[in-house]
Amino acid sequence: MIHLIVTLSVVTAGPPVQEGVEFFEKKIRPVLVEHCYECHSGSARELRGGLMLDSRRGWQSGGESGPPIVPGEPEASLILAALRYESFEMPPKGKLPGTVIADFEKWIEMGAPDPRHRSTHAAKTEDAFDLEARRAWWSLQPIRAVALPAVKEKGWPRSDTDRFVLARLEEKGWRPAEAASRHSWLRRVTYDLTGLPPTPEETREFVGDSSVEAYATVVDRLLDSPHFGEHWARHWMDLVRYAESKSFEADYLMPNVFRYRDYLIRAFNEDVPYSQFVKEALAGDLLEPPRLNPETGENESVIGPGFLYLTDGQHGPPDLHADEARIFEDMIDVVGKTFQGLTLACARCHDHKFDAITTADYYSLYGIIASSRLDYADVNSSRQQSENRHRLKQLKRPIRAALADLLAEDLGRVREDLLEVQAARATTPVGMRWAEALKKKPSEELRILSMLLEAKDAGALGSVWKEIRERGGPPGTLWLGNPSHLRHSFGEWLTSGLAFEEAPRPAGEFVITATGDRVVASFVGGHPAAGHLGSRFAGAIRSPTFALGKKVSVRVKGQNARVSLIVRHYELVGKGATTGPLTRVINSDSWQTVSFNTSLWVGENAYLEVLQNGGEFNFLARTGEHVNGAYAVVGTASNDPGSPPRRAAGQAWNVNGEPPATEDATLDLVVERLQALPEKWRRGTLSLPESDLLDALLESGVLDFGLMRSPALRSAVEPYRQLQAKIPLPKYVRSLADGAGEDEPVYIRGGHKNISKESNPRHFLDGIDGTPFEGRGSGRRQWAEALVSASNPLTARVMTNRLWHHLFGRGIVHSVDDFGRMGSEPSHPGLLDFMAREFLQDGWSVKRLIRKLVLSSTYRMSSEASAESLRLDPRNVWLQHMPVRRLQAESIRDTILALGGTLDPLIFGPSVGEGDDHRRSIYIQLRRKAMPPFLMLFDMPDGTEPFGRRNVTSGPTQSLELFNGELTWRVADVWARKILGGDVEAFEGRIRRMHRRAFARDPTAVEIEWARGLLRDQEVAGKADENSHAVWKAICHTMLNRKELIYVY
Amino acid sequence: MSIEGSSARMSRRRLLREASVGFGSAALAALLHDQAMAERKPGTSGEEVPRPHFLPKAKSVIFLFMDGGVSQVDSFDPKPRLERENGQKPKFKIDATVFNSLGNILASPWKFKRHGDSGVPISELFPHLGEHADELCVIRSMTAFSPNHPNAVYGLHTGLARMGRPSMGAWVSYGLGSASENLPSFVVLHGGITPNGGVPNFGSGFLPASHQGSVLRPGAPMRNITPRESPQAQKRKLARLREIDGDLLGRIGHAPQIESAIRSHEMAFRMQMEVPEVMDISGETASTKRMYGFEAKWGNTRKFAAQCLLARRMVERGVRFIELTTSGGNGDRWDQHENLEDGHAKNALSVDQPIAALIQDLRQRGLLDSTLLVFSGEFGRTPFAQGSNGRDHNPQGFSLWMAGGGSRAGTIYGATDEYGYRVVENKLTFHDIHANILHLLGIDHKRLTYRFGGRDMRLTDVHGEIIPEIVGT
Repeated sequence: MIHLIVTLSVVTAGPPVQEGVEFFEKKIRPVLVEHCYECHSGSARELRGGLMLDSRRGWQSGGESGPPIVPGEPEASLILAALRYESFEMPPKGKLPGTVIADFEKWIEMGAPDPRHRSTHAAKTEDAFDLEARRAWWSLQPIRAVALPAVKEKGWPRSDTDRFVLARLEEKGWRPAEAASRHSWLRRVTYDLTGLPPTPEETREFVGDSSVEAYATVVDRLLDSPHFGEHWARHWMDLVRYAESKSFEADYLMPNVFRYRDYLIRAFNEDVPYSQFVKEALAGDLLEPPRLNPETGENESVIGPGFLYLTDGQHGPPDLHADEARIFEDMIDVVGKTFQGLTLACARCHDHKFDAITTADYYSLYGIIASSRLDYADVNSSRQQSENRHRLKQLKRPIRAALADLLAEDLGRVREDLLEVQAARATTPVGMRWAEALKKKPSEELRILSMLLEAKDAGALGSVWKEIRERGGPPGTLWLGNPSHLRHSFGEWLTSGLAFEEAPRPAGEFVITATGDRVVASFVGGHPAAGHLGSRFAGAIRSPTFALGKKVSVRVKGQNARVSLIVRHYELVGKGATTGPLTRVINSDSWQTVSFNTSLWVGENAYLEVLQNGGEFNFLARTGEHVNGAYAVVGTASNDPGSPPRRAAGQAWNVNGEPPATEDATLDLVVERLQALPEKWRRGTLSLPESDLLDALLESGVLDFGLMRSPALRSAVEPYRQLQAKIPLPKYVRSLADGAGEDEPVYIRGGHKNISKESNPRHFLDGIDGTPFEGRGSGRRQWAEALVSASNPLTARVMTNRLWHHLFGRGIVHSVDDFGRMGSEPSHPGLLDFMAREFLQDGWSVKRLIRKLVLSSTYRMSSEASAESLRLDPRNVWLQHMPVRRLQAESIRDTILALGGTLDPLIFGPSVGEGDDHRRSIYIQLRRKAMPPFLMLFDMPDGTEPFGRRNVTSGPTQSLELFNGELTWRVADVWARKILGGDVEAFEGRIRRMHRRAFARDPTAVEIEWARGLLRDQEVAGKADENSHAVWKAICHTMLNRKELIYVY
Repeated sequence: MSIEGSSARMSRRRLLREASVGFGSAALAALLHDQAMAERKPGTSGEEVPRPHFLPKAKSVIFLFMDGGVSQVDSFDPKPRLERENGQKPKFKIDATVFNSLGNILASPWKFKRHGDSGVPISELFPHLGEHADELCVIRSMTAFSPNHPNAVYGLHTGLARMGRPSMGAWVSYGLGSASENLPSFVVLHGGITPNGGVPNFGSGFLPASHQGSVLRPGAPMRNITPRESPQAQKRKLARLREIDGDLLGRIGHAPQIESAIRSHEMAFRMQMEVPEVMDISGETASTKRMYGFEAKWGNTRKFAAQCLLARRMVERGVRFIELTTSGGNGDRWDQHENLEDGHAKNALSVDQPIAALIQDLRQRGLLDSTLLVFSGEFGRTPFAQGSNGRDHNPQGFSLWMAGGGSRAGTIYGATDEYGYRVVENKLTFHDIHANILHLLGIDHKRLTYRFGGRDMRLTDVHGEIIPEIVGT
């Protein structure tokens, strides 16, 4: 105590006492200088954590984690925890010896006397983050209305965009290249729009079409081709790092990912306005009404968010929060680059080094993602299903009536039955069932009933009554947390899909079995339940997010149901040593308590999830294989410790009144209440306790709702079951569902264990409009709206630039995924804004913009460069000519297959292997750990990061692939067969056919002579027969290796 | 302004000129292309022809990947305290592990001995290597990014604990190009087990695909290296292709990327000849083969002997980065969650003699000074048991060694605590190892960058420190 007073006087009395200073100089300062100044002083090359330790004032004001030293309180001083390697590990090079740490402890206890007034150098601050200055960057400026530039060569431009290109060329005194030949143009546009070579018929048609509309006719045909969507979907897949597996150790396959790929194909084919497409990507599950497939009526919008969780994932990470932070970074990176051309992920640890992006932006988006949950949604839309649901509800009424009749019949002589049971001489079938049930007492309800019936006098009755009353609790409490602040009601659990309707089911609600004599599987009144209208409506219900204690328990019942605990959005529950047990299949018509040991994750955020039809999921394969008769019911849940409370039993016996005075009066009461049940049920006036009582009687076997007992029941159940079996099976896609909106504070320097205490309301980017969002929900909808709002200049610019990039080989902004300061600036800023405006005004139509661009004079130029352009603009930034471009990997493979004639025009469907010569490359399954080698060699991205602009490389391994690889030899074989398969034809005719197929043109004289050379080579090799397959196989293989095959010009 | 365009002009012409006189291969091909050029910093692209930043000590790297994680306390980091506390509950704080199954302190079943003039202690698991202790620079203060295999393996290979980034071999290829005309600059001599995390560990990530590792599997030729027709037929075909591709160039004019692709085609043909040649060890003497372990009883010793010998042959031909992976059949990779004694003994037996011979052979041929050997697992193992006789993963402290290539021979750097559990002195990460490997190759790791996704990406991210005690001054 005395010591403490001394310490305080040191701190408050200004100059430190001599003894303390000596201790500091001897023991503390040298350590600070040697081990800490490198990063925590004015002389540090780079100041870490904003913390200065080279002056008293430095540590008093503290760094990003606050002041590290609390004088007099070693245990409250962060610096000590860091030295002990308990929080930060400082110094990072290695833990200091125990004696040194003890010195620090002593020094802090002494009040941390420190004579250093001044920092070693003037403090360095990092590049100041000035939001206003950062906002001045060109890409954040509003899209301008740009006047069309004047040009001299007025006859050249066909479209307005041409004038921008031409004006630039004329400034330099250059002339645009001549128009390309029709053959070249056709081949170019066919590849750019569909990724496939034109067929000889298409070539003939176009070349022979002398009408003014010839070019437009081709473009319209290509835009209408289903292959358009395949090619452009693949561009999008590069951005969202599309792949179907999780990499790491086991490379788990994610189910149904191909449906997202098919969604993209349809979206591009249908020219869904880009604004709609963007909204669907962020919030497709939340759009009302959703966009429906015009042919099938299925919900398209809900598939849009399917890209977000196409992340990698490992089983059993030791730190689930670190894992979440890693995976969310990937999502934020994809969202930032894809839609805004911004490197948002660079702001994970600090405000962006160059752009107007704050860490608050980063963690705002983090919070939005954290407020959402991965969901396997059914694309069968509610509109499609509403009629079925309505009919099923109608059909259920007569079933209930018939069941109530049976119930009344069974309870008709219940007084006698019960008396006989008490006398141990039951005579009727129902009496015998009563006897059995009261003996076994499988549930609380039966136990209480049996106690009631056995109570012989007023005293015994009174204590039964008392017990019931004391156990009483409000029926319908779903969630009981401990500590007590975790108390939620039904309303806070969130459902997705149609299966679990909004509210708990009304009293008396029941689940009908799919087949068999036993009609009722379970009563579910008062609980959230799925399956009460048959098993084919899909859905899930999820708890609010809560901080884990050591154990989570939940009461559930159902068939083919699944209950999981999702900690930190960890997707792979069910896999890994520690995370394996976090999921359980439920196949039980009786209540079960499922408990999860969560001691490894105390304090982590989590939510509970109950799935209808989740039983068959083979880990991730939450394909939700449908099982007839599936249902799911959720009771109560608890968080640490103990089991969840059950709903109070025995409430049906009117516990609020006086207990019956005699044995007879008890029996009267029991009989009266039991016999009232059928009528109440029929009229829909059952109370929840009565509903529970019915469930108990059903479960204990007292009730017999056998189909064979009643023709009325049979004729009521039959149409219900028939309709139920006709409802479309669930068709699952990976989507999102909203949780309650929760903000994520900033993680200081990106550390998930060092979280700011300041709140960080969810908002859009500070650089554009950082107003906090209002309203409930994750904020995805608001984020999506902000993307497509008129005040956002990036969305339209970034997308039109992508289209330009794909058509002209080089974006106006070359760094297509980065419109920030590290990216490139636009070569034709006016053109970019002009296009972006047109795009907006033309309803965000991707197809119409593409149409304009490919019909322009710029696009029609040949690839032959002028001498000036070659000399002064080797990258062809100013577009004096069209570039020579290599085909992308998929087109190379597709072309080879098309030449062989095996390519199937089939679109959509589950993925296939690389060896499948019938399907286009977009349908090849993409497993991250085993990406298709052929495609990878030709620069297909590996599905881990957004790639708006692919690398284009050439190397010997590519040549070897085409020269010695299996594919070209296999195709040469079938192509040769095809060549020989037609009518006997002269050599030259065959060569002509091959050229028309491969290059959309006739061979030149040189090429025909060249081909004769190939033939001579074969003769030299001893294969003289001009009609032999071997000869033609060699010729075909040589053709497949020509550079012209993989370049467009 | 940062519109790329004009700055690249000279460099491309220079490249074309140099290309015609046989400049290095893969990096050139990438450089020739617009896309790769544009990724380089505007204004500097012309100067960034692959060449070292300063005088290199090493020309090639042989990376001996000890898949699964070698136990440091059983190999290069003796801890007598384990013997004293054998069977007791650990007295120190333990970090979360993958399996959450924690046992008692487990003493090493192997004895340690100081070797050579330097007295570097090595356990009896590595008797042959012990003879070359004076060549080793043993780093005892390694840490890994994660206790999970794939994360740690990715981290070791690429500097990031997830899939998708370029492998260090790809970075070296990008940074230096190949010194060989006709061989890839980054080769993986596959022992049979693909590392956890798969082939992306040898990938080129965002770097041009030409830098990805070429995988040579035992008994199988390199993908597509075997012709499907006679040499004469192939030659004729190539000549015809040269003719017709030349005709294309004549028709469409300037197309440097097609020119480059044509050159790649010719190189492919030469590679097709040279790869089988380098793989053909029939010309090696019997005594050389014996030294490597070609006559060893244990089959995996013979396998790894062949890999080590091939590695030397590749070094001789200028391959920049050669990674060796381990074989199956040792019980498991070095990942002994149980049966440590059996599994580690077999794994060590497989590699000990071949590696020792490799060091000796390189030295004899005067190649050791210019060839850096790096021996490492993705993490170490716990000093306490998993179950009764295994060890779990330990990323908090383990050992790695280097030899040759300018690394400081006969030294020990860094230290773990008394149990060998956690680094207490001179903690290093894989970033630091990468920085030092690049340094020995004459590359400044901070200047070897590639612009991707709005950042100048580095193998070492924003980390990495050069350690004079490892690389000299």
